[in-house]
Amino acid sequence: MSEPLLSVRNVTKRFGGLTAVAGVSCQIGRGEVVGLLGDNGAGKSTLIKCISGVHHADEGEIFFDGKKAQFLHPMDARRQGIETIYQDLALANNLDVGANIFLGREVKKRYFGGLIKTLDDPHMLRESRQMLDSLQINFPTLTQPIESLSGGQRQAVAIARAVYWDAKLVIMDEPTNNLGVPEQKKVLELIRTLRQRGVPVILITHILPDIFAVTDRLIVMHGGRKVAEKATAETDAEELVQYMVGARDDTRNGLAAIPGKMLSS
Amino acid sequence: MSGELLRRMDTILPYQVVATACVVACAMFLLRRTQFGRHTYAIGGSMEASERTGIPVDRHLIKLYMLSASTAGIAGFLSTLRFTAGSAVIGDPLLLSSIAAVIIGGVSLFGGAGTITGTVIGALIIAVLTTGLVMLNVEAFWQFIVVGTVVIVAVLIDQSRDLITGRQRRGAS
Repeated sequence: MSEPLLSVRNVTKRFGGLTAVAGVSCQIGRGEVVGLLGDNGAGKSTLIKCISGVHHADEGEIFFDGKKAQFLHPMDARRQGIETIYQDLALANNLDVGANIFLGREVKKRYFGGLIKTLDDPHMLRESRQMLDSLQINFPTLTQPIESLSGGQRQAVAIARAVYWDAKLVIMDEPTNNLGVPEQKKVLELIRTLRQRGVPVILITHILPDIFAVTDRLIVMHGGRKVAEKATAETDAEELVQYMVGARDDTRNGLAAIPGKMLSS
Repeated sequence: MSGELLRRMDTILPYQVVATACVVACAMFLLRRTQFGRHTYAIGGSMEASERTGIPVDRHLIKLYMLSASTAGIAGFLSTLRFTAGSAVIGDPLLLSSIAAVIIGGVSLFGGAGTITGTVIGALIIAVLTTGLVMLNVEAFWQFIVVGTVVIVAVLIDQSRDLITGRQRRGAS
């Protein structure tokens, strides 16, 4: 594999006396779906927030796309191409699909030499439809407010937004939570579509079947440390649970002691 | 000559109406057709989502408050023109009425919903109500009670509408 897209080196994050993330290293290659697992409070979310610019790592470095990443604000990470899809979606429920995909980056028409700028809604709607079609997401209408859509459809809008703005890395925080079964399937399908487009995905979830369905590689965290890094094909649910509850730990017997060791080729 | 002409025009179409129409037209354009309006709705819908998509929320809110203040300024100007006298507290009794007008017009107290057209209709309803009460020789303090009751009823309807649709509100207490 060529140079990884994202390289996390020895990142540590402390909140007062609590060490939420302790010297974690990992690498994400292009077009790879990596599952990030761990019990509640294992440090998954903190690690993700360090990557997406919400938190600042106390120690360690993050390299993104060949450059050292210093994100002071989530917006910096976004501009570089790291899109995070949160549990609570970060969509404005009172706006329609097009408006949400273009939120904060609206396309405008200019009149009188740029003196008056109006929203180019037809253009945004067309683009949104194209985007959704290319992801094979079908909405009967795009002009109703998001709150009338189902959870899975909203998730799809969030993913479509990430893809439209050329995300280089998509981070999903428990994307299938609170979704019905068909919708969970749709989201997993979308993750596969992202991989086909060469967009790597970091998937945080508790749901083991999801992990086996879509991921290529797994990182398991426990107590702020990375306790295992495995190719999905080489592990099973039982083993993962042992890692998650802390019954097994590769770092203790030196198996995963090499920072960012890649197990898949 | 031109003063005479203006005075005659005023009897046909009062300047307050003209000024209101201008403000309404500007507000409609701003809210519906511009990025400013879109961001206003977005912040009203979800402040968190707006922040995450990079909308400068604080700056936008300050702009909105400035806009609100300047429309109040225009109202003060019109009131001075009408009464040819000024008072710093002349708008105080109008506060309740304006809130009532906005809520009756369909603006959500929790943000993210409402239109200018609705607000205009709401304002007309309140105006008809208070004028009607004056015509019926109802005493002035009863007007406050009536308008207040209308506000309470409108808020209750606004609340229950969301209860029925099961819409969840974030950040609203």
